[in-house]
Parts: sequence; C-alpha cells; structure tokens
Amino acid sequence: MDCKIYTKKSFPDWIRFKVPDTNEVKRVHSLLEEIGIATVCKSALCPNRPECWSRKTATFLLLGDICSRKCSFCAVKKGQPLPPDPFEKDKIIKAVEIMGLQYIILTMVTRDDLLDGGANHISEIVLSLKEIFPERKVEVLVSDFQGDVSSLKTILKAKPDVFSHNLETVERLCPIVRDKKCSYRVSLDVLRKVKEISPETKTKSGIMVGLSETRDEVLQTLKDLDGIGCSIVTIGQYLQPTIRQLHVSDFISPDEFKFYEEWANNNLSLKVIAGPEVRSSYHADFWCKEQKE
Amino acid sequence: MDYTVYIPEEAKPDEKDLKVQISQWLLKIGETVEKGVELVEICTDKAVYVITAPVSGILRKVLIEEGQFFSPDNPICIIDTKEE
Repeated sequence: MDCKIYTKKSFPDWIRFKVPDTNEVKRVHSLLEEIGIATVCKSALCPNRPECWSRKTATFLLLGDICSRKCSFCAVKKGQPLPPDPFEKDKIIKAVEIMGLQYIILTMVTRDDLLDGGANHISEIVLSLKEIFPERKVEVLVSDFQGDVSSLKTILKAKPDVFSHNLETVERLCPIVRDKKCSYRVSLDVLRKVKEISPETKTKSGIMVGLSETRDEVLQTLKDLDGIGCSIVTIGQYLQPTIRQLHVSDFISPDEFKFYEEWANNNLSLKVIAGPEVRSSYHADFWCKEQKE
Repeated sequence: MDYTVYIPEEAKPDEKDLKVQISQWLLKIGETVEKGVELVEICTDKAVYVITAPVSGILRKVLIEEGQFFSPDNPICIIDTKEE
C-alpha cells in the first residue's frame, strides 16, 4: 500500500470536526482511562468522539482491543486477542452508573479464536445491565459470529433492545474492504436470522461510502436490508484512520447523503440516517426513538 | 500569566507516533481570545479538526506554524491570560 500524506486541501469543507474543550469531555476521557475500558470511539479514532463524549455517550468495546480479523478499513489493532477480561462486566456497570448513560451501546472485536465467538461474554454483560438498569436501553453492535445460530441465540436470550451488525460496504467491495472471512451474504443472513429468532428485536446495520461504490449499489444494499426486516441503516463517509488503511476513493457530498435518506423514506420501510459525519452509533439513542413505525 | 496550549488529551490520536499538521490558525498573534472560540485547525490522516481556546486572554505566541507537522504531545501556542 503506498503512502499518501493528507493535508487540509485533501478534505472538502464538510469534513471538519469541532473539538469542544469542555469539562464533560475531559471527565469521560479520564473516567474511561481510570476504569480501564476500551471504547471504539478511541480505538477507531472516531472524529465524533469529542462531540459524543460531551453528550455523555460512548460505545464500549468488549472482549479486548485486538481483533482476530484484518479488515482493511479499520484502525482497531489486529492480531492474537487476549483472553476475555473476567472483570469487564463490572467495569461496564461502573462506567454506565458514573456516566449516567440511558442508552448503552456495546460493541466488540471479532473473536474467531473463541468457540462461541464471545457470545456468552456479551450476553452476560447485557443481562446484568438489564437487571441493574431495567429502564435503560441496550444496543449491541456485534460481529457475524460466522453465522452461527447458537451464538446469535445466546445474545438474543439477553434481550438487547437493538441488535446491530454492519455490512460495512456494498456487496462488490466486501472482499476488498472487509477481511476475507467476512461475507456480505453471511452478514445479511445474520440480520435475517435475528429477526426470525426474535421478531421484537430491532435490527440495525451500517455502511460506509466513499470507497468507489456506485449509487445503484448503495440502493441495492438498502433494498437487501429492507428485505430482511432491518429497521435502521446508517450511511457515513469512510475516512482513512491512518496511512495504513484503505484510501478514501471519493468524498460524498452532503446532498447525496440526503438523497439516500429521502429515497429510503419514499421507497422502503427502514429508516436511513445518512451524513458525512454519521457512524454506526452516532446519536443512536435519538435515532432509535425516532425510528419510523 | 502565560498559558501553554496543547491538543486536548481526548482529541489526540491513540498512536503516539502519528504526526498531525497545523492547517490554519484562526486567530492572529496579539488578538483577543475568548474561551471556547475556534483557535486553530489541525489535520490528521482522517479529517480536519477545530481546536477551541481553553482559556481567555491574548494570543501571545504561535509555537507551530501553519503547514508544519508536529507530534500531538507538543505545545502549539501560548495565551496570556492577563492574570497574575
């Protein structure tokens, strides 16, 4: 992969993120460091991190910060993951309590090294959160568990309010953007099976654009997700985290994102949240409430 | 009193070796700075970020010039807070 040095001229005006210097952001940052919890906000170098932290939201990264897959868009560390932290549940509960989170988002690194893909670990944490904070919502953003139904059932037994799994990109680009163990069809199937096992659970997915996909391919992806009963889809601009990941092919205009939202609103049942700054968990609490009936 | 400004800890990239670039100073030396106003734009591989002023005062000194790459741990400017 050749190196590209980015300068301000590389970015259009709309790829500009404000870093608020507030006590709340500092407090969340120190708290997460102190408790020793990984967040995808930090691991993936998310540009919305300061904004989300100032709103007291964070997406907890479970099962360590080393992923067993090597997706070429992702900045999360790759390699041999460590054994699951037996105290992770307590750390999450503590963070949720101190931060006063009303909408809790749990994500994970893919753990192909574990027999259940980490499903029991996630499930136990969701169950505890539901028991201790029954009025709060829990969203899980999980791996494909290699399509394993029993892992999906384990997660769903804990009754998360939203089950999210990202397609990440359109079908044609899946082999380039995601690890070779990932498959567009397996991912779709995971979301379909979740609806079959637990029809009351909302399913959600997300894709990145700016990776050379066409508009028709994006629309086809939305139709595919609508066809399996997916409720919410996020579409955001892919931003290259460091020179080691895939280059941005193009910066999609805000108008094009608006088009995707409106097209879905007029033609499909699912709700699309699209914008250059949109990420899987961006304002998830708000969008979950706003989802069309 | 001189207040040395750094990139806020929570906005720094995780990787310590990652260089960032000052893309544009939004205030000039000698200008009055209000806490919270947009102070400087920095650029990483991923995006352009706007850093806001952590204190009020006068922008006394710019330590990293526009276009210059620097380590996120380095100070970027000095604001005179006019306090003793």
